[in-house]
Amino acid sequence: MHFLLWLVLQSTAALAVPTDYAFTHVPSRFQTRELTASSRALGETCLSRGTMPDGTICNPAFLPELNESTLLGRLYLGNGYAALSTANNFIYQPLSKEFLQELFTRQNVTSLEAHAGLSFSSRYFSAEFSPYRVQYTHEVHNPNNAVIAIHAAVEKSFALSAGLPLSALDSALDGFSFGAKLRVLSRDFVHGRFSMFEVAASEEARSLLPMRSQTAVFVDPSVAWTSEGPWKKRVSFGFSNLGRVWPEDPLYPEPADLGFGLGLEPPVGFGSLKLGIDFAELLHGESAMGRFRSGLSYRFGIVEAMAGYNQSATTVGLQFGFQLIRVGIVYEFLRADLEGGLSNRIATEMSAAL
Amino acid sequence: MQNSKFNQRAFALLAIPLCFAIQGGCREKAATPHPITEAYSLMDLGENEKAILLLEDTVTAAPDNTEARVLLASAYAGTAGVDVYRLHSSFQDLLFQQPLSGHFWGGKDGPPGEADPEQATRQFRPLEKPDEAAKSKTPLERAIHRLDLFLNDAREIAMFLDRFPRISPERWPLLDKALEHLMMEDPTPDIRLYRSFLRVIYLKSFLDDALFANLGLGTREWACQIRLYEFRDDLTWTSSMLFHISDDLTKVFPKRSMSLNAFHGTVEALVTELQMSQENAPSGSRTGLLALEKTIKEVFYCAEVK
Repeated sequence: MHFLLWLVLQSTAALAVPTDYAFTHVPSRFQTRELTASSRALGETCLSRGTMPDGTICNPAFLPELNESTLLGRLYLGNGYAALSTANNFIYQPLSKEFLQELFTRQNVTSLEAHAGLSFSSRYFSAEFSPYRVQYTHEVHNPNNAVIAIHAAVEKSFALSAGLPLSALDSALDGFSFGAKLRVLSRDFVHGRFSMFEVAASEEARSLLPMRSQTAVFVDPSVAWTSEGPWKKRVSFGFSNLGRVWPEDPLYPEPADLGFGLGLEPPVGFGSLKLGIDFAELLHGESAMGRFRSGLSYRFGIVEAMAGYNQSATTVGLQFGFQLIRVGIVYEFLRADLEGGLSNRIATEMSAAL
Repeated sequence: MQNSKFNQRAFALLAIPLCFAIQGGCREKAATPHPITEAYSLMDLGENEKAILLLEDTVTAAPDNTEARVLLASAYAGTAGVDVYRLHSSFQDLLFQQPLSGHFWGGKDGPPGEADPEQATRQFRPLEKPDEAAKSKTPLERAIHRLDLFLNDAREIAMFLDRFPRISPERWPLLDKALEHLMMEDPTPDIRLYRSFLRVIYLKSFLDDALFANLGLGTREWACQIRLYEFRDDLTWTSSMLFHISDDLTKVFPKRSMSLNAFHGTVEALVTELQMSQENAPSGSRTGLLALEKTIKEVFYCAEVK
């Protein structure tokens, strides 16, 4: 416990990102850890939520609740599909001036998120492998002297989670459980802005957007309590990002933090209803509203309707779960993108139980 | 079961105060956007005048803030009517799609950095080495010869500058302000390029107004209306603009030659010729330029022109 507190306090100094200045931060929705239709549609609640609509578990402390083992292949695609090759070019290809110049001729705001992954979940244990998660956004500003802001990142990650009921240790701890997730990720990204004139005057296109890389190892332990009975109340505490990132980069501060979740599953006549409220980033969140996340879902038959709210977005979504194939669709009403203001996004997810 | 209830209460009692203590303890950040962020938003909406007010304050408070100064310059340029999006095809054409050598830079369509020194020498007419034929001419013949060369080059440059917008004279002070904010010690290449573009647009607007607007340019009627003092001042300003454009572009692309140099050489030669006419004025005349003007009008029989 002392070690955990030391890690939490140690990381306080890492919050040096000037978020009130143009183009100096990553869009808030790109900072989310889980990129799935369920997580997005539920306002990115995690700690308060037991089983997610896609059958996986976000909070490892709830792993003992899982009754079935699933192996899920997942493909998530946010809108702006055309930008996929652009994002890959930024990370994997040599940059040319012509390529950068051509960006000025595109839409003023383009955004894309995509994720491909494989996850295995069973009672007490889960593993996820995500070989490809891409984020890309660009915004063109100031028609008088056009400036483009670009963020492109490709991540690979691997996560192992385990959860145990604490009643196994002491019957007095009935209803309590403990879980932890170990995450290893590697990230390549470019982030910057430049004007048309900077492109024209530059000798080397890559110098305008140098590639940066990070590797991180994190542990996210959590403790949860679930009530018995029809309402299935949940309370959960969790630490996040206990670990190390190297090299550190102010764009992705990822300081160790603390979260708190409250969940409820009120009995309804038909189907099942789940509500959850998370208070995430309690130590380093930017504002009270920035810490607040909420989500609800209602499942009836093969359809699960979801809605979520957090500071970045209001979301609605649907998840259709067939025997093998699951399809999710999320509509996001974004409040703040990079600098682009209000906008809407649609994302789809296809997953297959293998 | 009793244990469980005890745990529930203990958990809740522990959880809620801890949560709110942490919530309250964290400092809220101000929601006011940074002036530069706000200025970008205003200019995205085309509200350049509001952006100017905002950025003037920022620049006054922090004169070394290069980003604010460039942004302010662009707001002035936008108010003057220089809109990069509207000029996109010109910029694309000039900067990106076609080799620059076809426009600003004379010579081959080679990759960046490849110069054509022969062409640069051929096109530039240095003042120190006037052509031999001109040496034997009288001051009047030399002036008319230089004027002829100037008009010839001006016609070519007019075709090149045609792609840029004409900014009306009442908006030139806005261009002055834009350029003033772009004048800084050791500017980056993009700032040099940006102010070169503003100067090219300014130059085009000025030449349009002072020269090309006259449909009779180069005709006897035009020669008869010429006011050499004003003309010399116009040429001096033009030469100064060309010098700054050339200086900036040479520093951005040091290995390239520029066809604008040829025009600059012609203008400079004519200015020098007019200057010499003034300095070598015959005794008794108030100014040499007025005398030259009078002689030109006599040569062209301007008294007969109505």
